[in-house]
Amino acid sequence: MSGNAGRGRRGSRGRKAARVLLAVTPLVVTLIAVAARAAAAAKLALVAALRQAAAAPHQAMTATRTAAARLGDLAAPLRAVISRPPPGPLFKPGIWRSPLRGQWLTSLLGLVLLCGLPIVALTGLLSYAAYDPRLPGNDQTPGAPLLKFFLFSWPTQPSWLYRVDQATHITLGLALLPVVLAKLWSVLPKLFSWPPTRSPAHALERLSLVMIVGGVLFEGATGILNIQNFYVVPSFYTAHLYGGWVFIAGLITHVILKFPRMRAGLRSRSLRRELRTPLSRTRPENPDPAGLRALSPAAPTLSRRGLLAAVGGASLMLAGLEVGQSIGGWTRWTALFGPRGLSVAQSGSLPVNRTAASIGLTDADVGEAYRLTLVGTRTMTLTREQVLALPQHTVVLPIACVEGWSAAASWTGVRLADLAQLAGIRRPALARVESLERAGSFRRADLSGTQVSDPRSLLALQVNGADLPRDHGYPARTIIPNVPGVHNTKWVSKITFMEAV
Amino acid sequence: MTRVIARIRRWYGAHPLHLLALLAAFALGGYAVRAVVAAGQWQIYALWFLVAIVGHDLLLFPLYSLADLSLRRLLPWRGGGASTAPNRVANPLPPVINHLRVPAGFSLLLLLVWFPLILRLSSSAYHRASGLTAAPYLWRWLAVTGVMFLASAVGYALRLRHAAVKSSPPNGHRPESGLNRERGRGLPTGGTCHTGHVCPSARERDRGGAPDATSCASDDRCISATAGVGLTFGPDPPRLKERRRRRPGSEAIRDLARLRIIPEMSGKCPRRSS
Repeated sequence: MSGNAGRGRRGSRGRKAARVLLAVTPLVVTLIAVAARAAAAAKLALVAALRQAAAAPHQAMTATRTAAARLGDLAAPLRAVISRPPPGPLFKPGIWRSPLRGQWLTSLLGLVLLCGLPIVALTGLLSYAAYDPRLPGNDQTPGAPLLKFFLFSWPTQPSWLYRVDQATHITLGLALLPVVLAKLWSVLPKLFSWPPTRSPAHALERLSLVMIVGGVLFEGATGILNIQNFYVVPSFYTAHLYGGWVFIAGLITHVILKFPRMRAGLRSRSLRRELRTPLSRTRPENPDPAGLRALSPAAPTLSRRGLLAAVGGASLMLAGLEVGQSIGGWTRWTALFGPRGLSVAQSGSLPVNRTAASIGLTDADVGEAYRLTLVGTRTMTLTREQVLALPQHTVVLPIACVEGWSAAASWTGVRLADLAQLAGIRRPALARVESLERAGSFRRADLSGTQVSDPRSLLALQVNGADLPRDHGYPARTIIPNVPGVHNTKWVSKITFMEAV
Repeated sequence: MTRVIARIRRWYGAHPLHLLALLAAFALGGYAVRAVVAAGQWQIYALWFLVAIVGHDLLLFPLYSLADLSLRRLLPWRGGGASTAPNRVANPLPPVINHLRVPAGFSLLLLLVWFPLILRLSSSAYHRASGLTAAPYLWRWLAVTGVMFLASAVGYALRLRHAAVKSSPPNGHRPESGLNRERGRGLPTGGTCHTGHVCPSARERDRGGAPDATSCASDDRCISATAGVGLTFGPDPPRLKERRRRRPGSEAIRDLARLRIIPEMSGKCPRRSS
């Protein structure tokens, strides 16, 4: 515990530990670097300002200069740590040897993502609007009122809109996953570039990458897990919606800052020529200002067009083995991995979300004792036979799930508008539909006036000419054009209509 | 005004608009995060977000690059890539590596996306939701994987056949040995080698062992590439004979001489340091 040697050893061990720690967390270093840089910059600015103010008293100037110098001294050891790369092979620039990395490849992948990801983001936001979250009981995602600026009354026309929107969201999202991975691979050496930051601007820019990289993979992961009912992330809607906004923030900034570089990168080579270049003539790209090209590229084992074909092929494979569950018909047989694809085709029935068994529905619930309650200016209680005795209508409408799958069917039942009339409501502004389900986020749904008044909106009793299967909501369910599947409430027990004021 | 901007540029490192764009992005992101925090359970989201940030760079990338490196070391022919043992130069088959990489990569990608169904991690929730069973997904994945490998193998067989047809001389004359594959249409021209580089130290390779991985692999590849590209038969080229005399212990040179690589095809790259 005494002697300079002991302190020195401890000191050097401490610095070593600090370097190893910093190696694991370049972001922390980035922050420290910002602080150091800011301190140094503050010192510079202070000194410069004081120099300009020549009339200021000499004493005060000296005092401030001393203070500024002390600030600089504080930053010096931090800068010393940063100036040396941490141990480990990843931080040696020579380790990255792929001859295919370069600004052209990164720019091309970036362009594909620039075309695709905004579509995925917009279809996602549209899907949120489709839930009509401004109606009192519909918003699954509390908070952030400013981010709901774009919401509008979701239309019932065209009836296929939600179906196409979600099919695009899920299928395109899956198809872009290989492109995202390839893009991350193409810029991977930049993660380990040293020093971690050149300026406060560079540090902030790197920090903003947390939003785009974390955002895109968070959104991908939560979405992919949710469509398979793998509920390891709680309250999917909140996570996926606000994760999406974080991603959008990152994406917009990244595009603004990198667009000129992407354009230059794309112009550095010709796509047509690359597509004609076999492996034997594949050469590394020219060095670029961003340093994406390897310092000493290895010999290629794959041509550039081969890499593009592999990425594109992977995208087509992921999309192709899934999209059948959204298109339906014979294509459902091709959806080997769509959760409502081939398996549903084999079962020969309509796809289901939430079985009767899963909500604990009993025979007593749906048997003779079943009653439908209508509430308006008067309250009515109807048996299923009484509902069947009302005027029946048949419509062909799709049910489309937020998870991407969908299927059209022919539904027969009573118009919601007729039921509103029965309850004494002539111009309905809102209807709250409640289910026999005792728990769960979607045991009730609020419908807008437009949705209730649409002549195709039914309380359906039959599907495809037969009584509803219990998994599809026997004794009665609603079917509304162009809404998310969960808003077609199953096992309907009560509908409350409200008059427009 | 320009002086102020210049000063900001000096200490910040970019135009002030750059700062403005970033601050706007952080404000938007922060506002969204605030809503999540207010909704509770933000810790688990933060954890997931962190996992997502490092998910590719620090988890997936090390796994797939390790797998790729191992594959390249294991492959018995030079088309596979990194192996440097001289006796492996002799096999002039078309490279097989991408016929393994592509089906393996596609299969792993399917697993990465659909693992909850394939590994039946969500089977009970999936059954409750859909009334279906997750049992078939494992078999479908195995089947798709099998089909992809099969298709890749068929593709490779077709390439082999194509190469064999192209290598047989038009007049029906056949050499005593099969070592007559000419895949030389994409030969390097000019002063650079196959990789587009001037080889840094051919001398190291000439010593016979594996070249230094960071400084000279392109040089090493140069030999392998030319070996795969232009094999023929004939007397030893005089230059190689002379080299062999000068460095009698060099395995690589003996190997080259045994293969009788045509000098104008092979000489581009290693010539520089000799």
